[in-house]
Amino acid sequence: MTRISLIVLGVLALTAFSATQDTVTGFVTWLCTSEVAQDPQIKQALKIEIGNATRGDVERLLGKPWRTNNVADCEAEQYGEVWEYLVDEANGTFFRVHVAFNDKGKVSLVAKIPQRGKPVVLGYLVDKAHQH
Amino acid sequence: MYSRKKLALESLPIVTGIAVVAAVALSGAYAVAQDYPPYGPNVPLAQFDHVMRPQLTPPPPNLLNDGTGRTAQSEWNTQLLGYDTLDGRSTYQPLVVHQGNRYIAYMAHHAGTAINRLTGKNETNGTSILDVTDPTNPIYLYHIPGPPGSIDAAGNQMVHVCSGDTLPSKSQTEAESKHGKFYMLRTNGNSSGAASPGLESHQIWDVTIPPMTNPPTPFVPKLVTTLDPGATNTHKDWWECYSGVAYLVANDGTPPVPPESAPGWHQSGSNQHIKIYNLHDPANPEYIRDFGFVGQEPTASVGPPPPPPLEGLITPPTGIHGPISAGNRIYAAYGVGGNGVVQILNRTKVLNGCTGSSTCAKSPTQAEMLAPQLGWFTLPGTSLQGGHTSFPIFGQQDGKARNLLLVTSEEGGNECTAGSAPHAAWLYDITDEANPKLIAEDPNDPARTMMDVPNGFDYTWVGIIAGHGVADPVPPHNHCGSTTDCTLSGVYGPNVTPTDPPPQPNAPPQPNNFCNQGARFGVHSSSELFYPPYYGRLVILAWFTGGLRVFDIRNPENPRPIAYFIPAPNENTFPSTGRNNHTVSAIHTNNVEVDDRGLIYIADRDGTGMHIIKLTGQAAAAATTQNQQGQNQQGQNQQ
Repeated sequence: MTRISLIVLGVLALTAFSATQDTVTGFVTWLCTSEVAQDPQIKQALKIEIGNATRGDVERLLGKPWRTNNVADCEAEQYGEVWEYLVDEANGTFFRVHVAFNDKGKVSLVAKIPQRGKPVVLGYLVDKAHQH
Repeated sequence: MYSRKKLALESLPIVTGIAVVAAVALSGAYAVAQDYPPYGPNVPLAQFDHVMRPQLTPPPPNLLNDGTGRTAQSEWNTQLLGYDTLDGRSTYQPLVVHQGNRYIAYMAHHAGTAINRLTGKNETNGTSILDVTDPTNPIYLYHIPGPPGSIDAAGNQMVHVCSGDTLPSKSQTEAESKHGKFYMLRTNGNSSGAASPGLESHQIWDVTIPPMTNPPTPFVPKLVTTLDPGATNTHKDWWECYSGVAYLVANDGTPPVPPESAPGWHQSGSNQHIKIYNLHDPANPEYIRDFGFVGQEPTASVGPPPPPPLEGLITPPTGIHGPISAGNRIYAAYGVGGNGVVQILNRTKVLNGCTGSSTCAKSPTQAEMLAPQLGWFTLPGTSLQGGHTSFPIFGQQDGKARNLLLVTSEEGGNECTAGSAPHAAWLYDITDEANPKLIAEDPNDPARTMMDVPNGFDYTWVGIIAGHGVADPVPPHNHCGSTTDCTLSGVYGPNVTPTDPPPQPNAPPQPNNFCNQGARFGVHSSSELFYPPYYGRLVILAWFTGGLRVFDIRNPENPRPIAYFIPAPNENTFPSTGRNNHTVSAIHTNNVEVDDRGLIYIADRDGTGMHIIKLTGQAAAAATTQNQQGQNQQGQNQQ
């Protein structure tokens, strides 16, 4: 299957995403001025070059992860490695920075996971091979 | 053989009957569950009936009030008794063992890393061990880390535990060395892939819980041995405690590492066959042979071009997911989530089939592969469904023997992949092992089974397209045991969730449903403990975002949903990404097991933890009340 990859950056709850989104214009500006982007860890996360960044790149930007996961049952093609960072907030709550890698070891998705409520996807790699 | 089970082993196949029935009547089946597979050699005998109990519609799940559309904790004829976070580790197989006077839970983790609450250290995911004697207050005892290095090849997803007093011995010295001990068999590493083959293995650990002392004696599991360090793609094993025989699911890498390495076995998709050992003496494994589905053997022709399969759906055949042995039979499900085939084997012929041949064990002939086989069948939808779990239910109906096989496929894609079939569970009548028959067939269900869970919250199907499937290539082109066309299957279409385009222009989007939870929705597996009160009465299944699902099969022609439990996502739940990059942190019930108190344990694939559940209401009554033909009888040997 032909793989067409395109980086889409934006701060959006993914419930609002549609498969027709294929441009980046405008999202970057909104991203950088959003409330989400004020957290130092989020600012670092926004430096991750989605589609190109490796595990080493992520570790250089964010340090060692708090928790990782790879739910591949038994086959290499099922790989779905993710790294998470736990960030305490001033009001006593916390959020997670979630970084997903594809089977090539490149970052495919970065999200902020609040303690409660909707995840905020900071950027993702549109991978036609994995679209439903 | 020196063993407490010596008499049972030598008496096969003898009905142990009346005394056991009396014991069960007195103790409520509490003690005898350990007499059944995989611990003991006996099998329960179910009593099926013809009562047409009314079909029940499960209540819709509760939803979180946060705008995400996620399901909240929801109970139907169930009650949550206990919970543990498992430190947020993704978990595959739960196993709960009646170990002395305590109940010990072994929770086998997928690959990853997390902080061990007991040490404060970040450890690779391995095996969490908890004392669940009080199910309302699980006590986290220990975490045995997994293999270090890249998590691509890590994880310890599978686990079995045997008592040293149950395992047979070849000498009094061996018996004494194992007395009072418990041994854990686990996979060590997962799938290193073609780039670095042969990095996985199996391990045996001494997990004997020290007796209560003051001050307490620390519980520190000890590694006993490592098996087959050249293995790849380990998966769901089965360990007969009463015989010591272990059916390890793996493949062998090249170059071969240990003496028992058997490289060159073929498979499509799931990359495994069976490696059989006797582990009666855990410190000294005894290799028996490799086995699988005909066409997997190294000498088989695989092309190109691939020759037509001798049996099954494709060449080479799909790999095995996990065998279950009971009595003198082995039930082997191949394919996991596609091109499924289920095989019924004569256990004795498998174990003893290679005497007199120097090559049979590692590279058998086609005839040696076929010799133990009693029957095989494919599944409705043929290529669209896989063989994941095959659990035998031996029983009687109308005074005659009637044996069933519960089969599950595995859903493999998040949010109900377009073009894939809803993965479900089926009941087969295997009384005539050469001619298995699909029963409880529902032609209106996409997967043609009454043991399915529609994706709509109102339990109607959303976004299904009917009439798909691939023809069975092996004459007579119908091996699924149905009287109708096995290829027909419904599949999920492009318009299933609210994030998809609506089915028609200007129509509203599809309603929120179980396919809109980020993760997988569909069946994964069944419980595997032969627990007498549930045996032949309740089928207990893990259904990913559908949570725990229980079906009443007392009348096998009329199975009906009778209970469910859906946990709530929590602060540890990993998000999953589905259709149109829809990403939410939602529960992902991965596997389920029962203990010999009847409590149900579910493990979450996305780090939500372990939930301990009790059946209530109609589900509890189905397990305890007499059916038309009386209580389950206990203590039968089979075949």
